Amino acid sequence: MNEKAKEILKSIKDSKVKPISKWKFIFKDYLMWGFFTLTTLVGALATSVIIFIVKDNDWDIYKYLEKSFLGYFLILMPYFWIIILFILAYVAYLNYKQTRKGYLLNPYWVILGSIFISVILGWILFDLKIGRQLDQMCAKNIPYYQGMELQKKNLWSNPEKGLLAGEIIDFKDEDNFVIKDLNNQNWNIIGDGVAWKNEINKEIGEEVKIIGVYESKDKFKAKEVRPWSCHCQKCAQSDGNNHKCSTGGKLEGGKNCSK
Amino acid sequence: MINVENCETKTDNELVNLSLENEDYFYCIISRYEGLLTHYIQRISLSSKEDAEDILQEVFMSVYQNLNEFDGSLKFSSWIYRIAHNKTISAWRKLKSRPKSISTDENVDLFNIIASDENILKDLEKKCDAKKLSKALNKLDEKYREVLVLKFLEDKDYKEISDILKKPLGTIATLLNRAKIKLRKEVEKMEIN
Repeated sequence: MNEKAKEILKSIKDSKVKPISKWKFIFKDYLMWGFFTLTTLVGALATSVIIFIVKDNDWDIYKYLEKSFLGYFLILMPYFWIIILFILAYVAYLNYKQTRKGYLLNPYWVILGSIFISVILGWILFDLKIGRQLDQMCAKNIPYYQGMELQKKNLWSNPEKGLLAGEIIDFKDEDNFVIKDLNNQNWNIIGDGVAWKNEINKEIGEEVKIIGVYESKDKFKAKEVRPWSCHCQKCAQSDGNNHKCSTGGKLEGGKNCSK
Repeated sequence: MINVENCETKTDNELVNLSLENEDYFYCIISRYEGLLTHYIQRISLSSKEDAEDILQEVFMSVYQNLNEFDGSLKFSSWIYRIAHNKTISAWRKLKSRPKSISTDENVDLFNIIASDENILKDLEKKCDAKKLSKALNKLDEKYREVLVLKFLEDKDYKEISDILKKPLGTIATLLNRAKIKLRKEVEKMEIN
């Protein structure tokens, strides 16, 4: 008989230690997989907002702001959500690591895998307009986030640089209408064959962005008019500055898109 | 008490199941691994036999408590070494001091085994003596020393080391290569001094 072994067994018996139930280990494993799934799903929500913000940005207006494309790109990147996505991917990795076989894969692959799944699901959520809703919810409730919304407004409050945005308050025709800008100032918009991009309701109440030339303190010559944001349920395609409704898509308020 | 001779023909997995039914069978597991784990604890923690035996007691206590966690998807020896490794590292960190050195005999073994490995550097094989190797090992980071010990003293393969240390196979290969280089550098430094 091994005396040392006998001694150890005796101390185990004396301490009245009992084996932990198997279900506790199984439960812990499922719990960790649950957390992994949850963090990846929240990551998908973050990705849907990133996609929305990227698609909603007008990437071609940097030239009006006297900035390089890179400079403009760096200003408009949705850092807040990108940081959240990476934090969630790391938390997903920490959860995965706690699973029974969580040590077998390289951490980089787990993090990249989590981001990949988040991006795939994020596209689906974006398609379901979740990204937009979350973005708007955050703009209302998160102080820092309002700054990002304000940033967009500030960009389009530069009539001297050819960028103006606001709500149509009077509409005669496509080359002649009045808007109230984001600072509540009225502007007479004139033009000669103004290009109305995308699906916009050419009517009072529509929020628009206008690219053109500053004429005087209340007159602006428009070259192009765009919707304030991509407000179709489904943006079939985007060339970076041109959002289009898919056939059969609906505008906000339930109106059908016209091609 | 169960008949010890009955244990010898049984596999680890069978003993785990029997221990869950009757704790007396756990004696067989203790008996089978007590010597191996005492050496292993000493090797990675550089601790005395007395300290190693204290840690060993905790190891078997933890093994018994967590017997249901073992599911047979890995070797029982890898699983029990993993627990021993974790207990040793946490005990070592509690003490926050490293004992002086492992025994010279151990290092001679390690030296001989490492030297016989194809990948180990020839300079080390020729120039190093056990004392220098002992000092060099003491200077290595814990992560390097533990892979060297598992590979060359405990004779574990990459998969087993991966299961014990809970690190990916690729990481184990990298650590092992770096550990050999670090060991050679430490030995070379001592040669210069």
